[in-house]
Amino acid sequence: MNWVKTKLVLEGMEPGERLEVLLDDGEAIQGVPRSVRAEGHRVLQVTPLEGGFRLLVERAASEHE
Amino acid sequence: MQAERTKEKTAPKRAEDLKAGGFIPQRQKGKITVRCKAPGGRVTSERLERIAAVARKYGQGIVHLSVRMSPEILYVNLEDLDAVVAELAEVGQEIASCGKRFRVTTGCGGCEYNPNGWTDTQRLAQAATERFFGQDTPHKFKTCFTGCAIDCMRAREMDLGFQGMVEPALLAENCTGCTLCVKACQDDALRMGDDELPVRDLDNCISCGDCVKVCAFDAMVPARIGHAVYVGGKHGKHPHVAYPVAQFVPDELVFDVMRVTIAWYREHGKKGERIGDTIDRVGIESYRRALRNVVGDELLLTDADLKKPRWRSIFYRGLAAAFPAYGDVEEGEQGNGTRA
Repeated sequence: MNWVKTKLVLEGMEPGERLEVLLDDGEAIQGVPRSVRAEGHRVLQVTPLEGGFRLLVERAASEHE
Repeated sequence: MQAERTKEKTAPKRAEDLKAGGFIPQRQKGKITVRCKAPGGRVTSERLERIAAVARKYGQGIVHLSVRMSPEILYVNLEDLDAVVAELAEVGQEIASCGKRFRVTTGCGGCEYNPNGWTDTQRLAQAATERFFGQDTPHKFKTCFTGCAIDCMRAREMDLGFQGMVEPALLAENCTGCTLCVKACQDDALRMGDDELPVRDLDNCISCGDCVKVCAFDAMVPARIGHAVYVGGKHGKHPHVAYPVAQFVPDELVFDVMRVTIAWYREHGKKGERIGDTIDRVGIESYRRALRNVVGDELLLTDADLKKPRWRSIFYRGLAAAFPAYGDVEEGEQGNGTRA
């Protein structure tokens, strides 16, 4: 669900816009950074937090535009 | 005329001959299950459609997907076997086999289409089957390619199993010290060092590659990808978990490993004896010597390797001896005896 939500938000953003994603430790951290990159977006920064991580993502240019 | 000739060609065959050809006598008199060959469990739409059509025409329109990924056409009449084979052959659908020989190789998605896979299990399952299928061995010989540490294909239950493994390396210049990899590791094999770079514990690392998958900066990368090799596993009435015998075997050596294992098995195995039992009877050193000729000392697993947590955690032979004894159920904990 973490990736699904993240993906939907990213899709609604403009290329170049940035998104902050907060993830809990556990399954989320395995899937989301990878899926973000596979989708073509850039991970600018990953910061450890108490019990989780903060991702700073830059939305990629749309393929279909 | 046609009916008579057909009867001649399919005169009563010995069950053993039938089974060698992938035709399994069913409980019902005169009915045969036809086992179709699908290395890696991969079937084209065309062949699947033909299998369905043949099942409808000659069987009862029922197909069973066997545990080794073969579509099996049920309830075929003995006298229709030649026709079934011919109609399947029209789309290149071959018959698998039973009996004392190299079986169709199974395989997971692997790196072809599974995001977790490290090795190309589909390609290798096809190629291995093409190369070795049907070769006679003292007893059945089951092989698989599984693409990662998750081991969906149960490599440790195979007579000869191959499991994808990756050796990660750190490109320090790309590392931001974010600790995602440390958090992702479930085996206590990564910690942050004094220089805020991750440090690997080689004794604990099980080469699963979770750290590589999670890295967002291309800092944790695959330095080496290969196969762990397991020999001597089987399920059945007397299960035997396989012995891990080699690590990081590259794709190029896989067929040599298969070839030398089959040759060793033929030389040392008794008829009706699985290779795991052969190894237990003659000793694993004989097999390891043969394998060493192919993979060399660098890839051959030693006793010292097996004592490391990484191999202990994925090699559970002998665990039964350590199972705790089941105690008596205490008073008051028993159910009231009624069945659902």
